[in-house]
Amino acid sequence: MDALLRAAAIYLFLLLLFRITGKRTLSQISTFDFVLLLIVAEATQQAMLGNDFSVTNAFIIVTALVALDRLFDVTAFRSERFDRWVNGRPLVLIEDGRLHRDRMERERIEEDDILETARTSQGIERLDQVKHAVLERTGGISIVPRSQ
Amino acid sequence: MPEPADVSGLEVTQDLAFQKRAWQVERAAWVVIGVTLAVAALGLFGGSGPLMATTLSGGGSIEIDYDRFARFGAPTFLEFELGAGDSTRNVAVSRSWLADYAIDGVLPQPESTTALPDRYVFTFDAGSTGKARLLLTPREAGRQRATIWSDEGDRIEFTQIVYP
Repeated sequence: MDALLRAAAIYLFLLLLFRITGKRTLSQISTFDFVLLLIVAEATQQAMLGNDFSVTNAFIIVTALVALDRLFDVTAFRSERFDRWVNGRPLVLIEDGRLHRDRMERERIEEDDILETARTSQGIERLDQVKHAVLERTGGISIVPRSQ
Repeated sequence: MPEPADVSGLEVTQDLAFQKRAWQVERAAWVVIGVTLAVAALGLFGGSGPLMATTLSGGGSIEIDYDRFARFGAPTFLEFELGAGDSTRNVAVSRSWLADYAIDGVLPQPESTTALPDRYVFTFDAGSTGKARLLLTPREAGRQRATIWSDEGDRIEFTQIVYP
């Protein structure tokens, strides 16, 4: 029981924390984010295992985490409201060439971030070649280029 | 999933009303995170900090130091002043409290430890002076109530919060 509670508590805590800190944390892996994820993994490992390093405890914890993940997945599929709060919704940053700077500022996204994605995904050279840019639920930015 | 809306020709399930609410929740959450970190720095979640350690006195014959907040599985302590004397000194600690802790050590080593129905009595020999320290590790989370008795019959009661 103790192992189940620990696993559930840490899973929910990390889910809430990364949901609150914004989508970009999960998608855009900068050096800072990478180091953060490494340290978070180390910090939570001991809290989940406690003093029990048995294979049995590891199996229980992994099974509990996978089950929780699946449960959240199914609940998000069945409940639009739950899905909205846990996974978020896409946000249009560039709408038919027009930048929504207030939204970009709220999500801490600069033009450079959009240009970088435009270059890497579409080979686009300039911002005026971008018709739409959407901050997806995953934290990534998708680009719809202007048709030539 | 709701039906995608048309945003300047782009079909996307954007929800600006929800997004505004989500940003407000995020802002409030950051305030909570800030307050939590400030409270943690003060020691209210255990570890270290100006609000952690507490000293209590009982009837002039006993004084103890302890951590007001402890954490499950993390070391903590109980310290009591032995004072100077030319005879053995006894300090008793409630058994119900110690039952929820692992005793990692007692410094200095007591001459003997006696288990009574409601307390453990630590007997320190005449040569021991200064402070005696029980090194403890909590094995139960929650509010832990303890009673300490001195030889003179004075007692101190305190509560330690053990975080999970």
